[in-house]
Amino acid sequence: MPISPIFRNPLTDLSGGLLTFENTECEDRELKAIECVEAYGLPKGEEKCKILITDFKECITKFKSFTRVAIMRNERLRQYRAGQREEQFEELPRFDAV
Amino acid sequence: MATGTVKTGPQDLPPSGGYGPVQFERIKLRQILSAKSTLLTYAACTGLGFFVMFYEYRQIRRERVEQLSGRFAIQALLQAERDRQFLKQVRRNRDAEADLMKDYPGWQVGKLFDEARFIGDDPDKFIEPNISEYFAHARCVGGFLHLFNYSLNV
Repeated sequence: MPISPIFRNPLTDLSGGLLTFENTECEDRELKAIECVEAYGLPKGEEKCKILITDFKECITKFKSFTRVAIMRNERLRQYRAGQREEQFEELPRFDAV
Repeated sequence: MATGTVKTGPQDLPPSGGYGPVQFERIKLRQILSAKSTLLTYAACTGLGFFVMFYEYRQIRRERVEQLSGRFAIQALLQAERDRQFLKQVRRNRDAEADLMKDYPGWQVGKLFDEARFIGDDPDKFIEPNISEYFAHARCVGGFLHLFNYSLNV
């Protein structure tokens, strides 16, 4: 739902991009979610666009990703302490790949 | 306790005929370089230095341009190799995850239990991992090492 400001001044357009996720990896998901909510309206859109909004939230917070990594690291540490694993960590990724 | 003897003789007086003359005029140092020859030497050294620097810098520029041209020529190759290595590492991470979590109840590779990261996306779509996923199975210091190595090569 685009909200137009009451007073427009030259700083409005300059600072407009600061509050959104444009020019990031989540800009497409944000745009899709916003347009979906705009089409259905806010009360109906929250249930109709639930998948888009969830994916957008995951994109900006990366909550699932971090949880995954934390669980895997804990499991690795547990296996190492239980003696099921000789080396705790895998090999370091090769250099110059990122 | 004062030591030494107490002087009891006649009072100290100037020597007979008075003191000698006092030197108070300036004695100039022996001059090796005059002002003119100093300036001339300076100008000659500076001119020679600039001359040599001009030619050396021209050579350095030529070599730098050559290096840059070579780097530009293999830039596409380097980027392709980098992307290839990245994808290989992502595959290695996936295999490591499958090996690590095979006994973990309810775990599916690439998902948080049974929930995909992006529900609405095509499940075959490649999701680019973020930095913590990329180094998930390596030591914590790995990312810093990569950063350091990367900043050295820039």
